[in-house]
Amino acid sequence: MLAANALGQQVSASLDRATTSVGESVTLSIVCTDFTPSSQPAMPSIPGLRIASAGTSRQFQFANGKRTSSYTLNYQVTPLKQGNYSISPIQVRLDTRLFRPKPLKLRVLPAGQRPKNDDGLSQYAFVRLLPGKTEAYVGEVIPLEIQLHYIDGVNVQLPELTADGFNVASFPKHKQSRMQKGNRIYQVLTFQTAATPLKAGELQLGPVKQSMVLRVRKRQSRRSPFNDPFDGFFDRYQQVSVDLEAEAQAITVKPLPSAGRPAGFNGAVGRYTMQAKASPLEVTVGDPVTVNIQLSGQGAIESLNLPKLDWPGFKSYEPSVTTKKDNPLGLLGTRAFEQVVIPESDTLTEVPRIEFPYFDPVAGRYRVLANGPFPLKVHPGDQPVAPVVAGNNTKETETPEPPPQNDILTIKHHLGPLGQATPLLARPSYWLLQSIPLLLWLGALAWRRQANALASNPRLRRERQVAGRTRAGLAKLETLAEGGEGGRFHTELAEVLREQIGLRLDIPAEGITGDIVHSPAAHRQISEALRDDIRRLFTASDQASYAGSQTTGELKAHLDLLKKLIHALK
Amino acid sequence: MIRLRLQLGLLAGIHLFGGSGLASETQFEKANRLYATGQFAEAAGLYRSATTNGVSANLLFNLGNAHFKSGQLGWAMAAYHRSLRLDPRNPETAANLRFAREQSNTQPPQLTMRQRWLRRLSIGEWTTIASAAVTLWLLLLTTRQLKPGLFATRPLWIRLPAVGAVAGVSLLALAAADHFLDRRAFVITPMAVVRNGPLEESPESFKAPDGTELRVHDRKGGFLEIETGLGQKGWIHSGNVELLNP
Repeated sequence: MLAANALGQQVSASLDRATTSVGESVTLSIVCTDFTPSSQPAMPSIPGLRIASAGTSRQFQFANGKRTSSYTLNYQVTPLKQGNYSISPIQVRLDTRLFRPKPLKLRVLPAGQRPKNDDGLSQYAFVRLLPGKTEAYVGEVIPLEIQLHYIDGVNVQLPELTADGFNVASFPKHKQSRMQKGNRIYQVLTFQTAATPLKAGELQLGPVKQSMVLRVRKRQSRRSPFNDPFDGFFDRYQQVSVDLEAEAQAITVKPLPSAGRPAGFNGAVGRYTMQAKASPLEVTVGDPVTVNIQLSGQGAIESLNLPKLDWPGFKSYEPSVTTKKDNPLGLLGTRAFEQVVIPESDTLTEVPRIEFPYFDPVAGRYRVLANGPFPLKVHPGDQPVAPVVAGNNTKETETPEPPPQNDILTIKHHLGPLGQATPLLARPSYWLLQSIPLLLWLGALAWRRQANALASNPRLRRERQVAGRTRAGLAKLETLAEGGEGGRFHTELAEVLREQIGLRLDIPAEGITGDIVHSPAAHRQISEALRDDIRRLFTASDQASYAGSQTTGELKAHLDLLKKLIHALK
Repeated sequence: MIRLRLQLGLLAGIHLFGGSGLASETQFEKANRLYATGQFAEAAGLYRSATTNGVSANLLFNLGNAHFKSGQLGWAMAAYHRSLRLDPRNPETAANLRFAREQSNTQPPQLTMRQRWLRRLSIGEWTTIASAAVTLWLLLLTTRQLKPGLFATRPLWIRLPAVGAVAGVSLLALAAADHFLDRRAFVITPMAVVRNGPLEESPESFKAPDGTELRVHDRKGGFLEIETGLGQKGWIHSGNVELLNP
């Protein structure tokens, strides 16, 4: 869809979609880069299509002291009949020159029929993929624009571009603008990036997928005058998640020609200029000479590298490199190399010529930038001078430098402590061990909370004491009953019973006797049957003190009664 | 009978805990002998196989020496770097690494001040410091729960270890990020081709000599996107480099 000349002026034409239906307009855009047509472009007259002008727009971009402009002419194409159309020839004139972009294909379906995957939301939002060119060389940077047009929406996601065979830069911050199409006004988000083809052939750039949430007006149902007049007033819009897609674009990638490839060419593709200087130009043998080389221009600036400066008679070091990008995509800018070379002989008379070969994709041929040679005067040194790097001036200091190392230090004869290659931090056993103090602290924390809770609750404390006393008492009573020791049995039984009654009535256990069952508190809190049992046990206890021994069976019967009572009192 | 059981238990213990160490020791000494007789490549192979049972700074130092003497600068520098990770203040390893760098005539990527500071201690040392600080703090907290009155008049006894524990853990986190996210690599072939893109047919950008230290930014298929210490960028086949963190 693109036509260009050697000055970089070019024309591209595109449709906002390739398929539509009868009566549904599409927008045709003609973008003129770096010029304004001297007359209105000649649009073809195609039976079945009505093409009408829909306005123009202009954009400027300043970078690296250069101005780039684009002048866009929009046309509304309305199909009147179904069929497959080829929109051509489009002719854009600049003085005597004529640009003819490639024909555009448009498929028109019958009225009301929608293309596959079109859910009717394409009038509310669509995505366009606009490559800067459709023909490029391997390594040539193609600027890309992805335009998202939508009327109203939120949650716009970054576009996902499929680009097999290309190296695609990341998206810098998008630009926002507005555009009118027919009687609709669209918000336009423009995402710019750059794609560099890595291999020759017919490649596909795209498709582009992008998701967002659209706000669209609900369909109005017929209303009866008797219905609620406010029905639907507050929720006339609905939010719809959409996955938009722009079709893939075919890109013809041509291989770099092998004919005329200069020696030292290292894959630089673009349009560049070079400035170089060397200083100082009068030195002694062994003194450094710094060569500064600046490559500026348009292309993949960050991947520019200088051919190795292997000059006979000079010792050279690796250059230091800095890059200055003049646009966010890094397609314009300057890459500076600082190379230190050291003349090793006083017979040298010049710093040799510096050459930088590159491929110019606009001209379609290789070019070689060159600077120098630079005249050089080298004085013989009194004694051999050790090579030094510029900036590291040798000065006499108080502390003598250690003697230069001539070889590596020899091996060790002890293996030393052997450990695992995995660091301690990445081993589960370390984390297991490290959790021990944490668990200790958590345990202590839980214990302290429990102790505090007990200290502030006397009732709970007494409950626990009585529970402990009861457990011990019952065990003792079992033993005494087995041994037939009636006296000690009944003394213990009365103690346990007092503790239980005291807890239940919340009174001190000391001094409780069988008469307790007549107290108002006992009447309130203990049933009559239980009170009778309590009285019986106290009476039995009193009798046992005077009446001598009892049989084991009788003692066990009293013990069972006590257990029943304890259970009931709880 | 009891004596026999004890002997069997001892043998099992040696097998479990000391067996691999003994194997490494044997291989280490054998490799040292090979090195002494000038069989550097064979020594390097033996040192490398010894590392499967465990590593030590000395073992990696000797491995670096054997590679250096075999003319494998990139492998040597990777081994020295790994040795320095275990023993970062070892002057001999630092000297050999410096010498190997001079021989490769390349410039390493610049380190930030934070990296230089954090790498004064090994990741093991940072772990020990942080663990000790956290353990001390937790033990003091435990003691305070068991004997609440003990620190009532000495709040600094709890606060200072708390500050120490937080500082230790923060520094350990930084050191761990630096250690585990270290994306350095070394060229291990004589003149590795660095290309403009991650494909075999991508044009050649420059050549990196053996021992060039690289910083890896990305990976696509079998290619790594790299940057040299001088700012040169490109894509190199992963078979041409040894990553510090494989």
